[in-house]
Amino acid sequence: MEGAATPRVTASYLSSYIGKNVIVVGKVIQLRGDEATLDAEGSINAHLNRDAHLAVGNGVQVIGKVNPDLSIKVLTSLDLGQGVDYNLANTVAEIAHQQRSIFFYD
Amino acid sequence: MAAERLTPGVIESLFTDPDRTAREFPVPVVQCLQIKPLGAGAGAGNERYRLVLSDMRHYVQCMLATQKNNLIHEGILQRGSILKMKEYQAQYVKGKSILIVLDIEVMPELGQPDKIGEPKGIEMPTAPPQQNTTIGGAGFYGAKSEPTQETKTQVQRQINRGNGGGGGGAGDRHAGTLYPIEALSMYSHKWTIKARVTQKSDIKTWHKQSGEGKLFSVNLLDESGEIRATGFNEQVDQFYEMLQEGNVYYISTPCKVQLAKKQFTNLPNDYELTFDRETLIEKAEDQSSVPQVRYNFCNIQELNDVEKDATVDVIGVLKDVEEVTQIVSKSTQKPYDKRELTLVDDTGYSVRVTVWGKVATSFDAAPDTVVAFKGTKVGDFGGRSLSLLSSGTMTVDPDIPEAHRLKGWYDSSGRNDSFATHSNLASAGAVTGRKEDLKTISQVKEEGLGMGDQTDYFTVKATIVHIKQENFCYPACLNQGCNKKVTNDMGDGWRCEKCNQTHPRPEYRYVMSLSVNDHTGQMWLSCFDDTGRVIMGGKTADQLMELKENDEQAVVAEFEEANCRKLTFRVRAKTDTFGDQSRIRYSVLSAAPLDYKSEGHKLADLIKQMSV
Repeated sequence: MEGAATPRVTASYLSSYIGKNVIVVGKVIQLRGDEATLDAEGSINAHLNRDAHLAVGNGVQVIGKVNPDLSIKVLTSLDLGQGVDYNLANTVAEIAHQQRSIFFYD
Repeated sequence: MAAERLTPGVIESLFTDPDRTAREFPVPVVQCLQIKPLGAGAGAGNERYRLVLSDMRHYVQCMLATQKNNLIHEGILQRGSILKMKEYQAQYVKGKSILIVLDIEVMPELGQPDKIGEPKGIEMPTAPPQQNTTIGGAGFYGAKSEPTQETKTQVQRQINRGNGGGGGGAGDRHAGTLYPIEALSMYSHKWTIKARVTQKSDIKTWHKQSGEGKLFSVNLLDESGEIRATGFNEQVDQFYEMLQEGNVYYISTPCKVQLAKKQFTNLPNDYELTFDRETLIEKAEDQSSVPQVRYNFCNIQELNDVEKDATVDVIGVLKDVEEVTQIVSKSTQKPYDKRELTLVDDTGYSVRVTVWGKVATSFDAAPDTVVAFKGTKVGDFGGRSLSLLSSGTMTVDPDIPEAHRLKGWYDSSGRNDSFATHSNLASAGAVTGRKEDLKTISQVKEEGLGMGDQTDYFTVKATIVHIKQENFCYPACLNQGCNKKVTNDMGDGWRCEKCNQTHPRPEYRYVMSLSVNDHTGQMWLSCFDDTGRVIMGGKTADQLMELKENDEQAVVAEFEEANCRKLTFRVRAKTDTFGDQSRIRYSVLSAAPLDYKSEGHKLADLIKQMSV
């Protein structure tokens, strides 16, 4: 599974993963056609693909590649609906980074 | 003239107001109308004389102290003699007021005139309290006067004097002896209380082989506290009509003070009263000086700290009122009306209150009104719940400062607030009231939970790895509430020994053995029907048995489905002994699916602790 490691990140980690695939859990702030703005401890621009059906205010988990301008090209997205505990999701990302050896194989 | 020397009115006065008498008539002068020895077959030394003394207005029976017998023997004291009473005591014996005369001085210079004036007997219509005084024994009354006796007679006298009497100030007849309810105890021999009847029960009758009887009870309230009083049999007839709810009465001894039987009352007093035949109850003219109802409110947030089964008063705004429902008590088969309400207050918490019987059926308070409850029992259903006791009361929109404050709060902001309930404090599936002690399987084994005599309770988060498919259920009695195993020995029906009935078919109930694991170890749990259903995804044992008969494979598939599910189990550990062998049995009290959010947070906390 080398090379396909997709760490969970929040906005602040994006700069370390340019050109790599990441997973982001965030809240949809804005939808503009093919573009969406997500909030994951910071604002993230997401370039959506055809089948992404997102709703403003809902939680979403997107897996995508990080562009040099720190926006994400979404490969697949999953609508999480309401009632998402963003705190928990952010904590997971944090802890994963603290315990790199367990979670990241690079 | 002898008549001038006499002190008229003193006899009445010394029974009614001894203090005043002592001041104004330090040495009453009376005439002796009659002398009679008390025979009684006593020896010479026990001779006592009964006198009738008069002050021209009243006459009274008296006993002469034996040390003064010589006056009679020597003829100094005769019928008609005028004498000064230097020392005396007013008493009641056998329903009559009498005077014990300890020291007298005869005035022989006045001779022995005939009866002066038209003295009448001193009136004593109400039966005074029984006394243990024994007349006789020289010097017995030489002992210091018993002030309690004095004041007792004073009280009785004042009552007899009719309404609007003088005595003390502030229209308070019993000024000297008015006790606050809080001060009542089994050691107070005579007292008077002025209290309002806050509640009067119906007359209840009972029939037992030892006899039958009737009783009624009232709750009495004054500024200091509350106490319950009960009247039995004759006292029901005596007092039931007289005592009206809402009125203020003077109640005086004799009246029994006993330790309170807490199961019959919601009042916080250690004692309770029992009316005697001789108990004196009188309506007070001043109906307003006693408070109406006393509340001791607990706000809803604090309820969480109150123990289960305690009695509290609460006040809040009705957020929600449900319909009246009827449930049949499992134990007595009697139907009960009940209604659930939701009460909120400005601590931001809400609680369910259940009212019963008449209060439920005649309930007409609309949501958003302020309601006060007195006498609710705290339960731990769903965290914390309240149930109105039969002895409790509910008042809609009471005119007290707390109510006004709540109304003000509700109108301004409370209406739109969302309220926390105490059930939020528990993680899904656990019952508050028992501490949520989460253990890992290895901890359970290491700490030996359930070993020895005690029963231990703990919570464990584990994954089912295997469900025993043999004997996963047993046939049980169809009767509601009876889960006894039924047998089909005869082949023509399933018989229940407990209910003594035979059913055409049984109700199958789960009794499963599960093997569960967590990251620390493995253990076997046994669970019953309610938990079984949760684990099998809602399927009842009946359904599974049916499936088994039709399609064996399907049953296996069901068990597979249920397998590998992670749940939070609340477990009871107890040691069972069969002969020499004892094993710890872990039985599941409840099982619930994981609440991922709270579990996630718990894990996050654990991890944070690690890295610190």
